Amino acid sequence: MMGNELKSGKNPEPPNGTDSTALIRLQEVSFSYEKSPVLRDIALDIQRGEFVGVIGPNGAGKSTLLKLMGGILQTGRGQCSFKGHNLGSYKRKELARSISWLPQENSMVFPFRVLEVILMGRHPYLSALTFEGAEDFRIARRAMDLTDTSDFADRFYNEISGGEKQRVMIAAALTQESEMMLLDEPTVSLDIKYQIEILNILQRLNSDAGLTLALALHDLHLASKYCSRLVLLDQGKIVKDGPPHLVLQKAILEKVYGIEIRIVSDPDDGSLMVFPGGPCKIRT
Amino acid sequence: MQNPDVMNRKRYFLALGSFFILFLAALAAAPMIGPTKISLMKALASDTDFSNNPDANIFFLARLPRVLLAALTGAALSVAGVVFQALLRNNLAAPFTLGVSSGAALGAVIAIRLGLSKVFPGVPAVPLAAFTGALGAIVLVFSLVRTRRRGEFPTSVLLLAGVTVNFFFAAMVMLVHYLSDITQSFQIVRWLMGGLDIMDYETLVSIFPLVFLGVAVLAYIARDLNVISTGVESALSRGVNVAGVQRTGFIAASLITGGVVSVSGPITFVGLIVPHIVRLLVGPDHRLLIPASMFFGASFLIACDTLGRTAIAPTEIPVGVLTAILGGPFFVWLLKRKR
Repeated sequence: MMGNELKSGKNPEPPNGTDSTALIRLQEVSFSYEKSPVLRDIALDIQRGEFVGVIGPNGAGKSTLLKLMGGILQTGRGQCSFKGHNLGSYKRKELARSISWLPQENSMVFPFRVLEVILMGRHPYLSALTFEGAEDFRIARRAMDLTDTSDFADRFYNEISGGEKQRVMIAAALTQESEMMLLDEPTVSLDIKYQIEILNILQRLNSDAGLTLALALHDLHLASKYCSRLVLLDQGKIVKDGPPHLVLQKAILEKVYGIEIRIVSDPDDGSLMVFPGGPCKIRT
Repeated sequence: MQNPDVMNRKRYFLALGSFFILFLAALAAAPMIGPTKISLMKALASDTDFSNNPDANIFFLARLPRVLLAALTGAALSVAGVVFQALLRNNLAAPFTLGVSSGAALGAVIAIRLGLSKVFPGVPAVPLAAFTGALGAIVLVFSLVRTRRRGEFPTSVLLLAGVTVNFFFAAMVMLVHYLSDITQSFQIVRWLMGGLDIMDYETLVSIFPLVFLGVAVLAYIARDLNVISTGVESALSRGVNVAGVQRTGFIAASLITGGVVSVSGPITFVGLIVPHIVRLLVGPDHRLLIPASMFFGASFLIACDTLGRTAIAPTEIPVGVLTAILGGPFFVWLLKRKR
């Protein structure tokens, strides 16, 4: 787990003078599947306690970016580090205790019960041939309270609704007791009630427990409502990175999405609502 | 959290204990059943000389080795089935899915065609050739599949490679079969049906260590298998060394499969059905599923073989035929029920 700088006794300060408190840092990161490039020259620092939304069109590289940060994929070129140490220098279980990651969708082949799925988050803390102990159950119970999943703890994961599944996956990730959680479109395929429910849970975890969050999102309004910072990706590059009102600008979004855009400010909380502009073709 | 359905030590040992008792019962009862009535008391009597004790002779020489081989084969195929289904994340996977049995069959069939009997004194050629064939199939399938960046196998490609190798070896078996004379042809057909009719303990001793070690290794990675069965990327994010667990699991499961198939022939359906039955009974947690499937699989094959050698006595139904005849309809029922 020792980084190279520490081992060689050099100054542990990062070389390029950026803020050294970054929890996760990507430098000149590129990635391609086979030969088609997905991410190019990504530089990104995420500080402890941030609530970062990764937005952008389909195929922009949002999921890949999250997987690289979670150590699920390995960088092709460039450096990806957590707390100053290269992600590759961590053992898998060590990394899982620091960073959790949630896939877009999770299907189970076998009939695991909700509580069993949640307890799987304790995997990085358990050695082989062991059972979950009282402490693990206590942590699972707390995660279930936070996500409101206790009521269906003994139901089959495959038989609960989409919104419930997403909450269960968040609960499982919480039992990993990580400092950072990466979520790949946690609101996709959920109705608006569930979308808000999930995001409220995440906001609470962020503000109360100080959990650092990075999530891929498609809904730009929800992104501006909940995230403290947005990273706009297009064709594998970061186009804009900053607070929502700086990223969600008409000119930028029209260029990235290639359609006319109208932006309206929500009178209640000042969040930005993004609409496709222009006349509806069917009605005219 | 008092949840009756989630693993705790008490429930674990209670469940496992029941499966163990079932296994002991099958092990004790099966050698008693047969055309000649014997008495367990007489068989175990110490005041009679062994050679003058027909009960003991029938029990220990004629029937027990066969029952023990059924147990070993049933246990190995069931555990291997559980592991293949978890690693391939596929309910339909079985120990033979990746070509182990067809590789073994090709080896056996070639040995029969060449009329080999003993390689070294005491080592019969057909099982040795079968085991070599099984190893060949394992090496072939895994060398066909290119691993991902972190070293894990893409399971869909692995499945395709396995199915392809299966077809290829099956065709080779047919070719060798076609080129054989009538006596060899009969031997080949009998081998391909699977059979447990051995009359010695050497065979058992030769495969027991392999099966024991393999099952122990697979039991050791049980919790990793739980997490991997929910998805490779999820497993990576939960700290599972997916590449290592896949390698360990595939190799151990393939080796125990190859070991028992080289002696018993390709006995189908045990490795597919037993995991499903046991999962219905105890749930999908591999920490219990693996040892429970071991005991249940052993008992299941002992029962099938006992039925096979007594149902239409003095003729025997080959056990491989019986497992498939019983297993086919059961599996269809299971699939329809799930829908």
